[in-house]
Amino acid sequence: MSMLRSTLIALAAAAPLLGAPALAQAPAAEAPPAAAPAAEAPPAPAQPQAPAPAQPQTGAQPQAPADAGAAARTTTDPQVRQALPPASQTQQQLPQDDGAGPPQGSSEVQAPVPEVQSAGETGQRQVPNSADPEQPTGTPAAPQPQVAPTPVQPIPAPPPLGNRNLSAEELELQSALTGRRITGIVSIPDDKLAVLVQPEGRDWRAFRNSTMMWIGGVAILGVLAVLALFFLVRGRIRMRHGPSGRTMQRFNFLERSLHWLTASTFIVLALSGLNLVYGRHLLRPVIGPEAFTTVSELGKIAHNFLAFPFTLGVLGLLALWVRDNIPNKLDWVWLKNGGGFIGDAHPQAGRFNGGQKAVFWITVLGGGAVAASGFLLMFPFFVLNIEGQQIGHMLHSVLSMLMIAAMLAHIYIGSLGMEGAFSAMGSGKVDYNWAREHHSMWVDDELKRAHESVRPEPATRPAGAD
Amino acid sequence: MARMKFLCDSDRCIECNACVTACKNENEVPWGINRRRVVTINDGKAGERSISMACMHCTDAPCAAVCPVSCFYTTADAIVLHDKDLCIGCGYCFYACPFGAPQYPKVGNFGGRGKMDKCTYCAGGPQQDNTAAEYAQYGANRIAEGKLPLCAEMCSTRSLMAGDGDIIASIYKERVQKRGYGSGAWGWRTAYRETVDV
Amino acid sequence: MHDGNENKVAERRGFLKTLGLAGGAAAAAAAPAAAQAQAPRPRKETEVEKVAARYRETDHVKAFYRTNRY
Repeated sequence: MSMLRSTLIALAAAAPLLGAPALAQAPAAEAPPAAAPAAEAPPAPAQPQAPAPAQPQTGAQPQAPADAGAAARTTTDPQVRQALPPASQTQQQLPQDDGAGPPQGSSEVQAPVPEVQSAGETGQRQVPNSADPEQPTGTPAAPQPQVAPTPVQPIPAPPPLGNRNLSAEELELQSALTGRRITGIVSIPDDKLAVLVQPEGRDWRAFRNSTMMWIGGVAILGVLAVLALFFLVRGRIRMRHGPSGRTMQRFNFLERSLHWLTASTFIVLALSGLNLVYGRHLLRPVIGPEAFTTVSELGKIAHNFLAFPFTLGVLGLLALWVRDNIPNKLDWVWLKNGGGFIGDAHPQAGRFNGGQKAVFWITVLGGGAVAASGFLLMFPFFVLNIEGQQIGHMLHSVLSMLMIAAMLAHIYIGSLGMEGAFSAMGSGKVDYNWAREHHSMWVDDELKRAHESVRPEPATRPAGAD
Repeated sequence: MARMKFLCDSDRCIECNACVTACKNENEVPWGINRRRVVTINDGKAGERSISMACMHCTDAPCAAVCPVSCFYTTADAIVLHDKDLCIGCGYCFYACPFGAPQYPKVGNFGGRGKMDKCTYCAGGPQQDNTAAEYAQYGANRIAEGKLPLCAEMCSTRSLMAGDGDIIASIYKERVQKRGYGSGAWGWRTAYRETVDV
Repeated sequence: MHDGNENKVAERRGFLKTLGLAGGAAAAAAAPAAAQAQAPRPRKETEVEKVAARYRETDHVKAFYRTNRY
């Protein structure tokens, strides 16, 4: 409704300027007589109380002849400027006159007023030539400099998205509301610095200091608690029939080397990584700032360098063992029986049981993701921008903590948790009874292979060769 | 107690980069690092704005919160400084800072980072005031000399202001009243989100 | 290599020993002297000094505020 009214007023005011005789005959009739006395009025009266900027909205000054050009020049946006009702003119004052503060609208420095207060027009006030309250929309005497408007009514916000060019104020408001980055250009060589504000830093800080620390704490301490409980309740898993004294080889030298390479680098990587997260709270108060910096710096260097052998180890283990770790039905049975941990079941297993296959895939997939994100973090901004780096860091840290929790369980079962298990990786040889009990299918396969190597199958012997 | 702030009036900034040069020279900032920079939004289009940005010396500094070795501290003037002897160059402060203030010289292996360097509000660091050791590590300590950061003092259009937050806010308000504009105090909505009061 | 030479050897030994001791003493004396020739190394600030307020409204600062009000 008010839009319609303001449109009508605008049209009425603009009509004489644009030379449209059909509309608004009455105002047009007034205009010439009013223009004459106005033209004789002394310019720039010092009347602070008079509604001096009487026609900034129409931009028409009384003296000049009807000049559509002037009108066009001074009314870049007639809709906006002439939307102000005439009554508001009496309330306006020139700021320079008495320093009585800005008109209502512009004191809202935080509110963006796009069209009206854009860069080129601020501060360009002109003392009007007439103090008449009602300026005829007549003829400016000479090209008049632009008069900055003094908005009073709030201007409806432009549509939030679209193809139109957004002014910097709108950009800033939008970005502040949606939490997006504000980017411009810089003349220095570092392109990263063209990002003026990146609010995602706040979210990353909250994640890192709160969420991630909780995830790590719960995962690692939780697993330790569960393992301790399990050990107290079940104790060490012994061999049912005791050791037989006969051994068979389970892992050869290459397999063991790769495993221990991966394991040892993982331990150092895990400790240095955990130090970056928890060290400030746990270790720094104990050893003091300077010593803690030394430890952390060495940890950072170790973390960066050991990433390479760790990745090599993971890839090597993948190559060696992927065939033996393809999940099959046996694993499902193994899982349903609780892996033998709970209750008295002794589910069968091949070379690797379900739990080991889980550890394998955690190591390969999780470790692969950790390695990949780690390399991206180690070569910052080669590929990713700041948001990508932050996401990479969150991925890296959370996956690492979950992996640490999983490996704690793996270390437990391979050392303390099960009698006869460690020698598999230690010397490579396991007790026959242990193997029979826990990996019966694998023992069968191994025995078959051994027999075949000693005495080939009957089919290959020529008939009657005995 | 005076609370130090920067305020860049982006209606006045003409992208002359005098602040950048002044800072670089006064503090002998290492190669490749720019403690202060001028960012131009909407370059060449209507509504172009240039803003001078360095460290905003936040009250609840995100850089200090995420530092693994806790090398940051805030002075009574609310200036955020850090100890380069404790810094390990991990880069977390850059991830956390909304304004990209921390910078790292490329001295390490890979994309390795050296000790972090950032705008110190011309207030030096945790070495004795106005000594050669402090200058070598952190640059000038103008605040201890009774002056203000050189970037603001050298601004050609008086766009960048530094000093007591209340005083420069009142200066800005005076400008707004006298000249009738307001750019919204660039950056403050993010830095001082909870209590913006220009 | 008899008495005459032995005396000479002893003399040389004594001479060299004196040289060595003198050299060592000189070096030992020079080191702290050189260190003291530079300014005494400033210690780092204490925790209290680090966070102390340093801003004060000097004439310089006041002039800055004044010239910014235009």
